[in-house]
Amino acid sequence: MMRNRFGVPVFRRSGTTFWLGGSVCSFLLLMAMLGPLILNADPSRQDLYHVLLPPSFAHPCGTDAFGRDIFVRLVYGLRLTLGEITVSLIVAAGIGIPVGLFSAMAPRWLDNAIMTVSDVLFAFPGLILALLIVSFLGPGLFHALLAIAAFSVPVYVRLARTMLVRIHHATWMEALTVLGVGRTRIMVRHVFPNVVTSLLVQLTLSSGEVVLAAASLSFLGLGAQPPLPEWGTMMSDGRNALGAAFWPCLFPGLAIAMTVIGLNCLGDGIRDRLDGRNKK
Amino acid sequence: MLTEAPRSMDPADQNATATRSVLSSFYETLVQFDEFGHIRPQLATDWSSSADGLEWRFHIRPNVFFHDGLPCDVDAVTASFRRLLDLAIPLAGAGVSRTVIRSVRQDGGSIVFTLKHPYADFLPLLTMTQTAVVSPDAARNGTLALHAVGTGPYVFEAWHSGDDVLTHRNPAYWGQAASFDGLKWIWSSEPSVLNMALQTGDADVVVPLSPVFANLYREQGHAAQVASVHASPGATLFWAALNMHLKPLDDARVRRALSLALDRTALVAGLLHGYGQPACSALTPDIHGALPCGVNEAHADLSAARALLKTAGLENGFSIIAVVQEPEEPMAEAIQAMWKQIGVRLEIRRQEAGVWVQSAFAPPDVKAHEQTGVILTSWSAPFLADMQLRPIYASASAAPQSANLGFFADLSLDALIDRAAGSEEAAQRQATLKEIQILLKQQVPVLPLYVADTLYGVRKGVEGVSAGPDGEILVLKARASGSGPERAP
Repeated sequence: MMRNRFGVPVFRRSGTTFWLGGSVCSFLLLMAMLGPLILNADPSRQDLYHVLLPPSFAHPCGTDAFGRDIFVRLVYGLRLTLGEITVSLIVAAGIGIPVGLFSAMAPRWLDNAIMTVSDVLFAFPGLILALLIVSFLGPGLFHALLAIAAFSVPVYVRLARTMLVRIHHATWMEALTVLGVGRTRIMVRHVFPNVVTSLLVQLTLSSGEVVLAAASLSFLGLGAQPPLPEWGTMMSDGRNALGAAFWPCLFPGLAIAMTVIGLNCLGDGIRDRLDGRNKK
Repeated sequence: MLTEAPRSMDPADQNATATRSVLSSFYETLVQFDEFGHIRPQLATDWSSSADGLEWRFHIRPNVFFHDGLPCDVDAVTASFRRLLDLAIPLAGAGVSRTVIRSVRQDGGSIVFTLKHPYADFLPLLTMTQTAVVSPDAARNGTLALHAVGTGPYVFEAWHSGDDVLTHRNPAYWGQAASFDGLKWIWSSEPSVLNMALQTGDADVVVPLSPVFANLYREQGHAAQVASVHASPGATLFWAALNMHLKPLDDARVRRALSLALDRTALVAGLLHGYGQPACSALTPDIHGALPCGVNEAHADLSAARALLKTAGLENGFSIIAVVQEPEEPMAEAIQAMWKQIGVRLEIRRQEAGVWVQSAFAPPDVKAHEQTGVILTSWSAPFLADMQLRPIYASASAAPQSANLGFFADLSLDALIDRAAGSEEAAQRQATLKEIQILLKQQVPVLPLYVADTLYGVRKGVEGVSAGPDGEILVLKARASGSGPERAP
């Protein structure tokens, strides 16, 4: 156990959060891959004669207002959630990073223009911007993901630009150039590790935001449409029975909370581990 | 407490059950149903009709005054009906009256209606809140939409948009005075909020109470100690209109297959928790002559449905789009799963009330462009067979004019509807109604789904509350028992 100079044990927060987040995310990933194969059930199968059954051995999380097994829907919904994260982040990072890099190398007036647009988008609360976009495109999961990606783009624009500008003016960069190190070697050995750390942290932290935003839009009926087992939609359906049955709301809510906490812990953990200032 | 805000304080300019509940405390009609379903006098004391059924004469009750102090005499009643029939005034609830009544005039101390054609349901028509008598001054000033002025037992006080409608007792009411000093109407669209309001005492009466919560008040527990739940047979029919202009719904075999794939008993069990009954016919059970579900008709027959689709060349199924408002979405989701079993893929488009009205009442070309195949909704016209048939099935009622949302057109059906409406003789009328229902079962322009009971919750300490078959809550006879609250509902 590590101790400080007074001999008091030191709790390594970075280690705990990393392992906690890592375990939760690995568990969720494993569930998403194997769960549907093990359960082999139809998440949309209704049984209107057995609606709102409380949790039991046969239905670990109970049944919803259509007699569907909530546990089965949660497991299948996990795949949907991971899909949401992947699509939103690929679109957001795929647009944001090239624009940010371009902005860093562009003439000053263009750089300023891009940053101003980015600042304007930043000024909007993310969910409000997403609501605006979905109401324009129409409800649906894909449209909701595009909307979420749209409000995440400025984050990547700014991140990529800042990273490139910082590296470009770094003294170690000058030193490497003076020492005659090749451009490829500089990119692979020195620039990439500097970039990937921040990017990885941002991607992991954004994943949590994506889960929350997608669930919020689906809760409002603007995201996933029935009968998709999206967690936000499940909570929205369940709220009509709140007071008579808590389980249709509670379990999807717990699933969202667990996923977001897991992803945030992992993001924090990765940052703490890869950040040079934390290295002993 | 209601599930939605009132839409207007003008009785002729609304068609919503929740609005009618509020307005029935301010306004009165010429005649009204009693608790046994019989017509009794209200603002009219007695009436008679000509031998051909085209002329109806009503004597107006003397010494009745509007809340603004004006007398509710034959002049005022005539003015109120002339306004209702005036085509220059756009009034959402005037449609039926304008189709049935040709003119209105006063003759000495009575008011005389001349009808366009004999109409067996004329007296039930005059019980509808839309025909309530309004103050001529308020109507002339154009303030009725926001400020109710009628002759009822409660006087309008204030309408705080988004919050409540406040009323106080009418001290000059001609009948038995109201029990409460006043009523406060509040609303929320969240079913769980209504349930909580009833349990906490924020509301003394809630209507409609979601069936999900009904059993809470029947079991031992806090809810059962503070309030009770009542169920009365309803007349609200939930149905799905099929767009006859959209392939493959233009094929009667396909429409019959969709009907056969529905398990209406399961819909009642799952969505209504048993508080209702399956509907297999165009008429609700309160109508004499309504056909009940036949043997196994309320259950799904998937093999017969698949066979019909196969004969129509659609053994691989097809895709259709349904438009639905949020409260009816569970109905759509249940149907989606049922049709999936015969290969029919239903895409559900949940819409806000305003957007839904535009989609549902759109003309054929707009519906074709938006690919709207199914429209899910409900309809309520208790005891009025003509009102349950004409707006939904008559070719003249095709949207956007009225509620024939799927553009069904059959001249023989139109003739049958006219014959039933003009028929005074009960046996002949019932025979015609049967003929209509059989024709509609063959053609299936609309899928009747179920008739929901009216469920309402009442706090302990309040008595005399009842509900009409269309879900309208009647609190005029409500009174406090023991140490009950002073303000309800």
